[in-house]
Amino acid sequence: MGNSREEQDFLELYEAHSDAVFRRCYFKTSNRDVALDLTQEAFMRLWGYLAKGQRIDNMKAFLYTVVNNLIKDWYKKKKSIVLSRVEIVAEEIPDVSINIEEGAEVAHVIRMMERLDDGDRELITMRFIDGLSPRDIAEMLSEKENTVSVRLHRAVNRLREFLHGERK
Amino acid sequence: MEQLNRFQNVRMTGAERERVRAALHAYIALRPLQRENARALPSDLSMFLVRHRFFASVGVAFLVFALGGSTAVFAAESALPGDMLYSIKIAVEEHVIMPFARTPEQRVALETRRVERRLEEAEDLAIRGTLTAKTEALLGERITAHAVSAHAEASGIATPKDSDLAAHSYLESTLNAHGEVLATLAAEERQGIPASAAAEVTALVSAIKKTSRSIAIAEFKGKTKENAENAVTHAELSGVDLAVGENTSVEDDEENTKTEQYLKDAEKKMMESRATLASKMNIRAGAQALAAAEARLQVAEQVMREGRALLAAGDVKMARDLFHEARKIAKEVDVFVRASARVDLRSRASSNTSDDNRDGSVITPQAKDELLDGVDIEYDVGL
Repeated sequence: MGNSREEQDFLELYEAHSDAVFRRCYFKTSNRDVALDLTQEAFMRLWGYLAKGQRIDNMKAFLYTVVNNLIKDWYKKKKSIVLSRVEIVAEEIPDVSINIEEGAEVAHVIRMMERLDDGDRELITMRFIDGLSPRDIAEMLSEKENTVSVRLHRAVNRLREFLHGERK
Repeated sequence: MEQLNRFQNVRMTGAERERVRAALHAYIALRPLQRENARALPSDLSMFLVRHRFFASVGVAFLVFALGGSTAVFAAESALPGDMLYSIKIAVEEHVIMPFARTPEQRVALETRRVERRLEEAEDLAIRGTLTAKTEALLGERITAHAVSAHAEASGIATPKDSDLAAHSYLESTLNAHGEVLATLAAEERQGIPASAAAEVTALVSAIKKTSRSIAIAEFKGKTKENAENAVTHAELSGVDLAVGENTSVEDDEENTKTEQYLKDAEKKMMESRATLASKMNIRAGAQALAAAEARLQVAEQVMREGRALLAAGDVKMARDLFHEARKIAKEVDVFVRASARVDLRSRASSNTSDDNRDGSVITPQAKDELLDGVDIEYDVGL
């Protein structure tokens, strides 16, 4: 008796999406351990749902809904955090699998992202942190793909302006 | 933007990915996909099938009892997967014996016993050389289901006693020991197992190891969580209550007493396993199996020595963990030796008796006693 086909599919899904899920959790919580826990919890919930025989039409969208809900729950429990998210990320990024220079640069970008409005920031997060395609984002936000592409393009330009403005 | 693309470099390390993967494996084992859920059937039809199977099983059990069928039940007791009476054996377990288990502790013991029975069935089929892919899959699924059920019941016990924790590790020992016996069976050419059956035995061993690993990981995770919660409680206490010195002293005494009890239990189990090994040494089990058992006992003794050294150094909790581990290994040896001896006996019976009687289907008085008293015996799961 080996793994069932469903188990194998599920574990393949985990291999394919675990980094993206982890990344989202990490950038949202600024805590590597919490991000790992949330990633694990997200996939467990997904399996729990599948094991009950529930139908999932769009696996990726479902996974991100679960992840977002977990992050929201985590924020509710963490109201007492004093340090700002950006400060913690700036400290922790070099600790991840990128070098110090890159870490500082990424931290700077994140700091600039804080200036964007919520919609733009979420779009950039979905595209560049979660690694979702414009089509996936469109499906999740119930929008047209070209609308998402245009919005994304504008959001990136706004971020670029912030970055250039900062350097001048 | 190049800077944005660098976000993709943030990822889990290999160790982190493996850790989460192992946790998912354990979780899958605890919440297996219901077979009927895996099929693309309309939900109403699935429900119909589930109900149909349930009522059919209950019907068989009632039929057996309505006919005053003790003979049928006894005959079914030695049935193996593929035999006509096997469904009665399972139905009796499920719908006649299980409902009598009222407490979680009793259900843990019974489910563990069911794991053992399925493993013994696999061994008997391997001896016969009739373990097919179908029966291997069936037994593998049942073993996992019973093990997961036992684990879930054990995890649900609100305030586990030491005996409950021991019952938990007995499940793991049972899986490991019988896994070893089956692996030996698959490897031993003298058993005359056809190559196809040997391959199925190997597949089953692999599934058993996977289940055992999942159970161990889940148990470890539960323990880690419990330790973390305890650590928080202690930290809160020490931060708030400055007069905690006296309480700590009382707690230390309790910890020491508990650890000494673990030490005594482990020593007792080591002695029992040694006695079992000695009693089978000249009679049944093969030299290779006995040598393996002896080697495992030596490992247990080494763990005990390390535990004693830690206890002497004042690391009470770590010492207790090692004594628990030593007891688990000793128990595993005990189960392994008994199972090896049983397999040896069956193998000899199989080669010495006629085909009609080769599976030992004649119920001996001992087998009857085991059937009648097995449940009660196994409540005290040899711990």
